[in-house]
Amino acid sequence: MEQVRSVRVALPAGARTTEEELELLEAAFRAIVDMHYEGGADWKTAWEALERDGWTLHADLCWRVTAQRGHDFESASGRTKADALGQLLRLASLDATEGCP
Amino acid sequence: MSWETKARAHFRAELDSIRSAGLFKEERVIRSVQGAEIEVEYPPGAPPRKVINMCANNYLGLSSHPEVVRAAHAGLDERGYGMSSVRFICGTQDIHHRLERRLTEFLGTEDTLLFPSCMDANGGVFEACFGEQDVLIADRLVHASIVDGMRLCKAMQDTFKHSDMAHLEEKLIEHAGRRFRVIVTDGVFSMDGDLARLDAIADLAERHDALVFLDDSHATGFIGKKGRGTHEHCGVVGRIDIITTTLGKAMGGASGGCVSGRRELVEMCRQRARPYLFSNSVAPEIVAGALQVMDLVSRSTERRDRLEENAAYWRKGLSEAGLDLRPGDSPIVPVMLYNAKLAQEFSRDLFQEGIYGVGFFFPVVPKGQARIRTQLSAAHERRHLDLGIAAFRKVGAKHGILGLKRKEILAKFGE
Ligand SMILES: Cc1ncc(COP(=O)(O)O)c(C=O)c1O
Repeated sequence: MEQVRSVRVALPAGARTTEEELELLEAAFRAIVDMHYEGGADWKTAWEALERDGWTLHADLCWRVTAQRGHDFESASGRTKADALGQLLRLASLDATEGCP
Repeated sequence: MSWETKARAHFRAELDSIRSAGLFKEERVIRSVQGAEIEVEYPPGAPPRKVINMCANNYLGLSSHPEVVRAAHAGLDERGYGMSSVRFICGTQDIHHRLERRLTEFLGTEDTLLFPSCMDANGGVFEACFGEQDVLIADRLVHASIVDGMRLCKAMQDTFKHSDMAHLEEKLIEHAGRRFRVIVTDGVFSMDGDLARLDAIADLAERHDALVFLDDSHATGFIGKKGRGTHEHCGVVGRIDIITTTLGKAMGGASGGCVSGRRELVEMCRQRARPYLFSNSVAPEIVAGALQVMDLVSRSTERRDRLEENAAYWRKGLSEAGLDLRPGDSPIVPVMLYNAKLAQEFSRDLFQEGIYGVGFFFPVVPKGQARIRTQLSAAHERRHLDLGIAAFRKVGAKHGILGLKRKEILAKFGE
């Protein structure tokens, strides 16, 4: 099996980090790794194809949150985790019950 | 993928899990026309039984009204069976436009567009009119078709607690930065039969510069002194920006729905609403029948008056018998049983007594709020109601719930 290599980044001694900050650091590093090593030139093909079809494009890194309950699935995205979760909460509130015909 | 080896097993397991959760829906076959009395084959294969129907949306008793049936026959003869086209290609007849004009007059709006159903009207209207810069703020008990329509729209989606005007106002303030804020509500809520506080909603909309969307499917034809709907009842005709409603309940009960309201919004639907653009035109005989319904409801309020009297009589009778009812003024009268199993057994026992009323329980209604939703019709005669009340009393006594309220019923049967 191929060896999975990882990079350890030391935080400054005594640095106090919240769970959220750590999550953010990890997400940022993962995004850099994905974009640099896995994206390759593939995204450019899709981007250009869409532009040729008249789309104006914009790409952004964001939080994506998902929720699953039995058969129900919701997902939302946002610039901050709070935004994404707020959106998820609003979406979930639409389906509190199935309701009557 | 081979259907036999993988997919069939998967879907069978899914269906089994629905069945074992007690949520499997089964159809009961009716062998008569729709009316106050119907013949039902239940269980499947059993000889049909005549029962009193207490669960149809046939509020005005027009589903099999001779004048409506006659008009539909004439429509069939004069304009044919079907259009084989969407509206904007070759599916619009003069009668489609006539019905749209009649609905506009009746609802007191600026313009109307027919859809194959109200489910389709709700599925198309939001996406056609609103976008990413907007927010739709819906009452938490709006109909499933509104939820689906909202989800198809790119606007932000939010909710307010059922009929809670303070919470709605909070949401209007929270979303003040959005281009359009749209308050979304049913007129009569199908679960409890309660009416939206449309006067307060219209005031809030005015104060916060928001728009109002109303689905009046359970109201058109009979709520309000002239039966024009919840907006008439609440004195806000002309202040509602979009109304959707169905022809599939009080208004003859066949099929069809519409978006009615501000001229420009209706025109946006004509240009962009996908169920209008991509689904077949309402059939001529249905349009002809609906035109006759419009004549009947515009000519006289006799049927909606009778419905109102029937609902009051039914409510009084069931209350006096000791059943626990959701309070309200509409012809939807939920008899609260709270426990899902009790609701199912109660419905079965009622059927044995000749009364057809179905049990609703989670996930259709919230947990611990199971019920039999009864619905009145102008077609009900006093004797139907008296027989119904006697049956509810008898079955209620059998289960020992007469005179009991929520806490006591839950203590006895659990959630
Ligand atoms: C509030 C509400 N809106 C829309 C619909 C759907 O109407 P239609 O049967 O015309 O699709 C219903 C029917 O159950 C309803 O109760």
